[in-house]
Amino acid sequence: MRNPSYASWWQHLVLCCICGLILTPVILVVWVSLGSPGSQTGQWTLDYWRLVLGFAIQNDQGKWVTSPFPALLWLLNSLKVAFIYAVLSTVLAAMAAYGLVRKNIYASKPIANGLLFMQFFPSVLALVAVYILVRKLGFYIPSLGVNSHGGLVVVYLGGLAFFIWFLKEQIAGLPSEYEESARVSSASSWQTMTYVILPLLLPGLLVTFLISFTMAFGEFPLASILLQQQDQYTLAIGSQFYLSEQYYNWGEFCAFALLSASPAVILLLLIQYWLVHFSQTPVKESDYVAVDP
Amino acid sequence: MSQLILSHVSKSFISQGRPDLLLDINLYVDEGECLGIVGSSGSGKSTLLRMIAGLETLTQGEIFIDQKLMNTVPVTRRGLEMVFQQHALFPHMTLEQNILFGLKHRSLTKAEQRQRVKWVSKLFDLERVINQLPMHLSSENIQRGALAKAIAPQALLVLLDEPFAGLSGDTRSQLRLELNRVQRQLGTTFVMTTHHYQDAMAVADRMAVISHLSDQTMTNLEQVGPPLELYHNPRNTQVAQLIGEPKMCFLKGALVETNNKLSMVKLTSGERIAVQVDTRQGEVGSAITLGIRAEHLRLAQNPQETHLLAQVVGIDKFGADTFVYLNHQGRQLVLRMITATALPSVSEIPLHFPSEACYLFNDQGIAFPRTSEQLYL
Repeated sequence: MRNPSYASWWQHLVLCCICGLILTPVILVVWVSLGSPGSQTGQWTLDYWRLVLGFAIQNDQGKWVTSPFPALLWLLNSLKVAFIYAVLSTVLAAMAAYGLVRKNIYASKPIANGLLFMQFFPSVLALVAVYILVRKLGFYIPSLGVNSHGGLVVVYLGGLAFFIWFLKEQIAGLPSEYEESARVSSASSWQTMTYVILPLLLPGLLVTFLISFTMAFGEFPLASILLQQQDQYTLAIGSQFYLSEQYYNWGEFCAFALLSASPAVILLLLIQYWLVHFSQTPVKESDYVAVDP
Repeated sequence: MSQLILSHVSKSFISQGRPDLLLDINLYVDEGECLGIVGSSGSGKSTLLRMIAGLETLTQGEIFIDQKLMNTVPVTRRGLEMVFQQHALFPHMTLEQNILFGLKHRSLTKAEQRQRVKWVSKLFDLERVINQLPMHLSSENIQRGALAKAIAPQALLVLLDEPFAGLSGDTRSQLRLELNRVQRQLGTTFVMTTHHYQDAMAVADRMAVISHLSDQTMTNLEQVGPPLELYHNPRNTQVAQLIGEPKMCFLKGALVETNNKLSMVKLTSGERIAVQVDTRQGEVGSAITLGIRAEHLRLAQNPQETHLLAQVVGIDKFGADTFVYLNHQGRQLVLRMITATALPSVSEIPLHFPSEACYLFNDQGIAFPRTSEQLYL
């Protein structure tokens, strides 16, 4: 008899094909970043990694050279923007969602639906308008203007509706008895929030944080319009400079790509641990559906 | 030990798309008393309790706790505790943390808080499970924990919303005993809702029965009184039906003879039955409803005693008692017998309606006063 807990051979085959599709580019990138060893011209080398990480290497003429691009600075910029955005979007979305669900707001349903419809509008089409608005904002508050990370975060925060909707469902699934019970116990609103609501919402908040982080980390169109100085670039914009029309530096590009993927992967692993840990304390049916941004 | 007064409290709101009303509720709960609010599911018991707690606003009327008007006092400052029907314990805290959470916001020192936890866990026999998360507790211990959490702050007024929900049989009666003991010991004022009349009968000093009016949207306070008073002298058919299991059986008929002690009734099927009620308020010939409980209906011993014949529909044997379900002209009757051996094997059995045990209601469903002296024996 077939063991029911094992998938049959064709299911394995399908899964292997999918794994192959996903993993082939990754393996290829790793391979190229190490100098395409084994191919006709390639030799096993760590030079590309050295360049990306800011170290000097010896070129063909024996001179020591460094990469013209500040890859680590770009990484830092990306981390900074993504982190600030993720924190702000989680906090703001949680507050907005809580208000929409729990407070008696006039026309809360049309507001929520309006937010969702706005999300369908492709933000790339608003690039010009966004640029002009941010430039105007920059006249009054320079740290939120064009060519500043603050401005970029403000623009990203315009896409909050998705997270509000996500957290709205999470909060609606939280029995209101918990809050009422806390109030009967004479807890203040602040204590109710910190001791009861936030711990119970933690899985949802972590997912919001992770998704918003990865979204901001790899975002290209808005960043490319708003950031114009090399020292302000984020990873996504910086990466294109490795592939100019005169010179395709695939090795360095691939090392750079791997470097830029690492923070998100590390974060995902960390949060996954917490998600598994926390979804064991159930908030009614705590089925957290993985949502693709 | 708080005193609670509800004066002309009304509430109207939309529930599931239709307007729902709680009408003109007047209640008085004395210091240290336990009041049980009994009503069928959806009759507004929980809403009433939530209004006392301050979780719902009142449409009309006033609520006083210890002579202080509470209408505008926020829930955090009413100084009462409440046990919720569901989700009474926070799932991310252990039982101890849950109890401590209820104590944290009262003015108690850390040592006092720890002492309270110790005391209340001993009171409800929870010492072994005090460090567990609610999801690892049995449903019995969850209810106990919820009670412990509400008792620990030693509030003067404790509201309990279906405190025995989800428990059955032995654990239920065990917890009723415990709650009763704790309430007597502490002298706390309890207001409890339940849809099992036995819970209220076992724990409460007085019962309040609320039920939907005939149009199914308005909830009315039907009767308040000691449990046995409600059992023996229900004010109307609604109360009579809500108290007692199996439910009281009703037969339709007309008043033939009015009297201040013993009245005569003629059923629609023609049988004449004497009932010990005072029917001076009623008119001869007016429609009435005759009520009889399963425990009072008897098997007729001889033809002179026989009031009517009924077909046997089914028999439930529970060992201690046997319930015989009967049909008389489309109306169901239930007969409780102590021993199953006396059961006749025939499909139609003669029934005797003891005149002192019958209830009589007028065409509005209002009870005539019962006159039997044996009632409270």
